[in-house]
Amino acid sequence: MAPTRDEAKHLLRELPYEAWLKVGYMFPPKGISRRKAGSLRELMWTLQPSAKSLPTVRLEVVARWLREKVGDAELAMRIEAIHTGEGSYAEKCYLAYQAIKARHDELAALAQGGDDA
Amino acid sequence: MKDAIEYPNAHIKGGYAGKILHLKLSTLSHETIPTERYAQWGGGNGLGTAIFWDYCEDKTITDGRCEENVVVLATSPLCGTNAPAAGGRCEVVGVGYGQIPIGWFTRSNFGGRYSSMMKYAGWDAVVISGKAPHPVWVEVTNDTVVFHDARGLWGKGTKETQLSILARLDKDGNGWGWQPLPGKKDVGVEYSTQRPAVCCIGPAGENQSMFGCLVHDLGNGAGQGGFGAVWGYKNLKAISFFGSGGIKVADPMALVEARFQVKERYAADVEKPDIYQWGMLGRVFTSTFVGLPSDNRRMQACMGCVMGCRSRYDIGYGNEVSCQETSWYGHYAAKYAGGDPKTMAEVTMQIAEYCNDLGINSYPFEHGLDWLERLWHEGWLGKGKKVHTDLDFGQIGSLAFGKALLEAVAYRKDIGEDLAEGFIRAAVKWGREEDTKNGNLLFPYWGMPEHGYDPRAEVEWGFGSIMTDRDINSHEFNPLFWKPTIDIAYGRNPRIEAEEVVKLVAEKLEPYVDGPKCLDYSDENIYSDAVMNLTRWFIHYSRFWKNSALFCDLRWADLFDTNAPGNVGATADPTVGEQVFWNAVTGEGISFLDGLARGHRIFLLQNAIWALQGCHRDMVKFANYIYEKKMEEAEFFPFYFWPCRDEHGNWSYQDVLHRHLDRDKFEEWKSRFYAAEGMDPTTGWPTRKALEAVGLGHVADELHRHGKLQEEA
Repeated sequence: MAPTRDEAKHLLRELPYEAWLKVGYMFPPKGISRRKAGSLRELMWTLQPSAKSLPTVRLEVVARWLREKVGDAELAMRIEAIHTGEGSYAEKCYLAYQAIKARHDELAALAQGGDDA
Repeated sequence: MKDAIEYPNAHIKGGYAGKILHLKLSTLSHETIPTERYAQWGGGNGLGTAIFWDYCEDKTITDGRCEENVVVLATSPLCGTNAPAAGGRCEVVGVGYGQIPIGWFTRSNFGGRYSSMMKYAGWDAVVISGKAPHPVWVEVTNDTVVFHDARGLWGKGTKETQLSILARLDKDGNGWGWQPLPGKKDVGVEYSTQRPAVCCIGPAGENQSMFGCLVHDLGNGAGQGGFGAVWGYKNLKAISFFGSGGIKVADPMALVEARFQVKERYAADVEKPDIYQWGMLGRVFTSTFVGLPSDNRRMQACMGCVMGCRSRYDIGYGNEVSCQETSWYGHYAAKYAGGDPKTMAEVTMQIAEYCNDLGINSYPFEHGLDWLERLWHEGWLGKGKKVHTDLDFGQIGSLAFGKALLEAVAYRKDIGEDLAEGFIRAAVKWGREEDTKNGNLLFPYWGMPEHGYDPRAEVEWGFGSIMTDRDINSHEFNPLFWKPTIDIAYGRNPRIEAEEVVKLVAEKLEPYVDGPKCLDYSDENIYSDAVMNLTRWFIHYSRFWKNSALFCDLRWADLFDTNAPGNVGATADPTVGEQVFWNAVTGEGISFLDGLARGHRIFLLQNAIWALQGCHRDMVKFANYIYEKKMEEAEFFPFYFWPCRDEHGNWSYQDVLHRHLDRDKFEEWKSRFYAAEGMDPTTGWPTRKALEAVGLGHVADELHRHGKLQEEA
């Protein structure tokens, strides 16, 4: 069942700092940059493929964060399935990006839509 | 000058300009030092260290911002030649500012064309002593040296400063067509189509911020060491070199032949680049870590480089920015831009350019900004908070916030007054000392930020940093991490299997090491003699071949290279190794190992200086979190592959996450390291025996006078 507008807004909210997810990028040969993501949207573009860097995330931690901090069990399940599925780390990051983007776009459309039914 | 080192056997066949310029700022005068006295130190780091020893009369100083401090900008014989990726670096040494607990005698380095132009003007190095009575900039045109009043330049950014100086030096106002300049010796006037090369400081240096760096052209900066602050104290705004000379090469055909050999064996095919290539010399690489805001660009390279790693664009900003300055703000910019990659790139490139204009070393922000953001969210930092700031962290990621933060640091405004002393000192002042110990601030050694390679995993980087004076920032071994890690991340078999790559590398390290065990990064081996000897090779190589001969860190050492038959790298190769180029230019005929021995000698002399400054082995320790906390990348980074050997002797790439260093084992490792290097394990100070063995008995005498010599029984 699709989230309501309020639920969509809730899932897209920026979390309190203590709940931010540790993420990072690897920039050879500069090294690893450690950053944090505070929302679903921020996680989405952190995972966005780039020719300049490789995202550094642990997908099982991402899934747990989505479930426990963001509150999106449905997306967490999708990420867990990607994590335990076939493919390289980079392929899984890309699949996770696609899944998170699809979910983000869905939620954004709902959040921007009309009043709740 | 005291205790001058005499080198009666020093000789010069090629590569050197022959003289060194000593700028005496206190009297606005200069003198010429014959290079021959220092030629046996090679160039760069070694030559500069030897000059510092001779010309700094008080080597106990611990803050480079003083009249007694002597700063040397030094070239190498290879500068200005076409030795591959070795013609354009310039080394900076002297007592720095901003390290913890002491402002060590330290080094930095920048690229471009400054060192080449210094030599074309007839100088191998410039020595800076004293303090000018007012801001000055120095014009060096061939043999002519002129001190100019720089009060009109004080306060200007590095770009405007350089443009102003170029305009001043454009004698006939023709916008740098043919330019007349005073000729050398009996030649009246010579002409050049070149432009002068200027090295200068921006406001960060003027205001003596530890972030202050030296900047040349748009994107070449000597960041670590706080030398911008040292220049700022000394009232030195800029030094310009403009020359019409050349460089005598001892064996030009040998140089050309070796260069062609490098091209034949290692050069990338620019039409069909091998994007999965392993190796340093032959890789295709751009050092801008952000999606580019424009597709219209052209490569920009340092003098003599085989591959320009920077770019110039058609958008009016971001020219020549590179490396960390293009990554530290990117994530925040992306967040502020809602993930829009174009806006993120535009902001990131403009912030990078602003760093260079203000003369700011952005590396401390790599982890420092994340920490500031944490303090702001915790309510520790903010308007009216325990640490007051008018900076609006709610706007972090915006161009305006980034500029405001940089200006705060450059002009010592707002929290920049404290941050200009360094993040560690600011944390202590702000009641957050615990953050310096628990890893909330990732500054593992000497108050310097972690480079992006954690010492708990990449131990040689950590050991090489803590046993010297700064983040070593030397990439000899670290492709052994990111090359296999990237291949594995993308589901590819590693281009070179672990068993092969460790053999390839270990052969390059002989006779320092006996086989590949030195490259076993497993928990059981990292404190071994083998890794200790790898670290010694690492320091000696970087001291001489990289920082004295000035081979570029982004191309050398080339310890393996898939562009070449058998994946054999160029380093130490009898036909294309570092020593081949050195010998072709200088005519010296040294071996690769001779260069490493020079690196050891340089390191001993530097340890003598550090001892006089107050260094003791008890100070040589990482931040607590390196010993007490396992790597937190385990929370977000899935793997950190290094070659490891199992109990059966089989090699593979293994994940070395989930560990911290063992304090006791490292202390014991240090004792063996000191003994092997000729230093007293109880103090870490060089021994007389070791110093005398390399012709530095007078250094031992000086240590003895200061009570810093453990006399051998």
